[in-house]
Amino acid sequence: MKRLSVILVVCAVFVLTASVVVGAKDMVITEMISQGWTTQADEDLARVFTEETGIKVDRQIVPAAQYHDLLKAKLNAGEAPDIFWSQTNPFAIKTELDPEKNCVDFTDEPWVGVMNPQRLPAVSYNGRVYGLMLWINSPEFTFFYNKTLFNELGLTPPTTYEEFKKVCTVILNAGIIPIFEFTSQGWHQVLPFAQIGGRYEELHPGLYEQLNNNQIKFAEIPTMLLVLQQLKETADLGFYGPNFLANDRPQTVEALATRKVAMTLENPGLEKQIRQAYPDCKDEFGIFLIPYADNQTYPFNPNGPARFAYKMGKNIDAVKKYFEFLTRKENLQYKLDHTPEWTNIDVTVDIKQGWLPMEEELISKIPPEKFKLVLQSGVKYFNEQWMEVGKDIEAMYIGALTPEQILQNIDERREKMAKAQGDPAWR
Amino acid sequence: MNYRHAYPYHFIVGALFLYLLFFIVPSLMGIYYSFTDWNRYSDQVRFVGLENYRAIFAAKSVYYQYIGNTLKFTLISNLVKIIPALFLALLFTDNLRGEHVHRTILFFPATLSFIVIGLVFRSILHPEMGFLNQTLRNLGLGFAAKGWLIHPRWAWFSIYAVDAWRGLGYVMTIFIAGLQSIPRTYYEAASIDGAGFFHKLFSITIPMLKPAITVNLVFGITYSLRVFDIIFVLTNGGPGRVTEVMNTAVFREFALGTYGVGVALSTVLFVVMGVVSVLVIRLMNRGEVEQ
Repeated sequence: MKRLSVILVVCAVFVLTASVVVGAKDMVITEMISQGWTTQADEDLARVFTEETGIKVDRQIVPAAQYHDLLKAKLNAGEAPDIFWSQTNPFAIKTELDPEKNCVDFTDEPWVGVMNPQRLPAVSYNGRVYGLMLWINSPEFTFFYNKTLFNELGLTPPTTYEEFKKVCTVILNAGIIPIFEFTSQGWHQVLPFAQIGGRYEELHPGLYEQLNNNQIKFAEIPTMLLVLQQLKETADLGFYGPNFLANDRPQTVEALATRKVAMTLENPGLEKQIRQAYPDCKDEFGIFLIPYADNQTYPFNPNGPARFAYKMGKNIDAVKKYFEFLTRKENLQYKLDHTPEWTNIDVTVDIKQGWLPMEEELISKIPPEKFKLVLQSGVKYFNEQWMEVGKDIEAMYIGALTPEQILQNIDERREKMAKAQGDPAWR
Repeated sequence: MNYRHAYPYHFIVGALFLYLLFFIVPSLMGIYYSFTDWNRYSDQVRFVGLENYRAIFAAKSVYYQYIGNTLKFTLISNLVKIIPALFLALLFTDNLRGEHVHRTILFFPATLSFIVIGLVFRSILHPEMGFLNQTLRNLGLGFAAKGWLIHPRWAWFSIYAVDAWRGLGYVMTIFIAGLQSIPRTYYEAASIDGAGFFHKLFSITIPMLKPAITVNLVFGITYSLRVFDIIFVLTNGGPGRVTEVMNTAVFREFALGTYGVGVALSTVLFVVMGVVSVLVIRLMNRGEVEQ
């Protein structure tokens, strides 16, 4: 009996000690991120945070093609990680995240002031702040091109679709794939259609408002149909190359640096990545606006990927500490300095930014009235179906859908979402 | 012996309660929700009758394609697994040297996770840098190098091949267990009577293997009708929507927050699965009943 008592006491002490040790040292916060939104700098910062606080950050990086559906399935099932990233949009925040139900309210956290006030609406709902957006403020997803190659071939950046086709033809005839397109992640192929939302609005004044009030359908807008037809023609003429459906984003740097391709839709920071990975590459690079439908509007987008914290998570205090850590001046500077694809971070803190000349050159040439809101930030129920539109555009490239069907599908999905939410404009 | 006394009914009460609670009740609830507008955007659930089913079976519905793809996958994936697995099982129960090693190697893919299989085969089947096409080109067979996962014509073919690679060993193992239970004396007697390989195969092996065939068919059909993982990791339903099946569609409906349509699709799948499984079991047992 005495022996049994000793064993029980030893076991009890062991269990209690173990639980105390586990509680203090092995706290883990989980963070789910889409592949293209994070870099090694985030990993480094998470490690420093662990060293400083003892709290581990388990970063789960999910392929972009599956991320959106997986996150929504997890939120719907009530099994979201402590921190999750989401592509923000003030119109979509309710439908995408249902923040009052799923997200921690950060309104009173001191780091909220670190974000550019123009970005706050994207991470807010009913006047409360739910997310942390640390993102760039660059000309986002314009055509990034090899300036030296263009000069050698006697080409200048096109401003109309016809000029664009001629430029691509010359490049193709020189044995180089004109455009690096990748559809494998499901989102990139939607950009040329959505980033020129300003052009649709320019040709159809008041379009965004009409779309948001259900007074017009996507299928009734000829310019949208034209752009999809032009995209299809771009693929059919071989300007994307023969295997673009298998391309992936990580190949972009090599493809541009080694002249396998001449241009791609990317951010200006790609130049920094090329210089870092291919120091022998002496080519110069530049950017020009997407010329589909003869667009010359600048894609203004105050939204971007942001971090949110799960309301039902068990480590909310730890997440708050982590967000405070990430928004410190020295950590923001570290993030910028160690993220080659970024040239700046859109924050109010005085860090040393690194704008590229090509960015300043492009912006300086564009008149103020040409700065237009992109489609996904101006129109309701579009951003939420981004990946579905991506699938449809891929289907169009292989001939399984027509441009008209894509627009009809967008309208049907908008109607479905609007009705499910009881949007009065769809009653 | 009085079996009723040996195994009284109250022994099953606990298991039956858990089964009802965790399997039957959720299934019935799912069927009920398929008649509602249950969605992520509203806390209220309204009864909408057959509206979700009407959407699924509407004239221009894309779901017909997904249902067709699921049935096509069920038929072909089982054929390409069961027939080769049977012959491999025959081979590996015939005192082949190192047969245990061969069995282990063939079973090994069944132990791998779908994520690993997806990553490995996406790399192997890449049209430019993939191992398969590079090898074909190096052998002077460049004409045979295809866009295995990106071309509508080849995407399904690649899925069947990878699925067979993964599942063959599992099916074969069940056949081996079945073959080992067939008394050798039958074969010896048949040999004395002058029966050849195919005669023995069709007169002894296949009739005696019926239970194993039934198990493989039922497992295979239920797996194929519910297929999701292998398609999700290899093509994600693409290129475009060429390889979408019922469960990838269910997943997308849930992702969009339209749960009502999602559970209606699941219910359709459940009914198809139930009918097909019962038919297969009855068909395979018919001979035994007649005997």
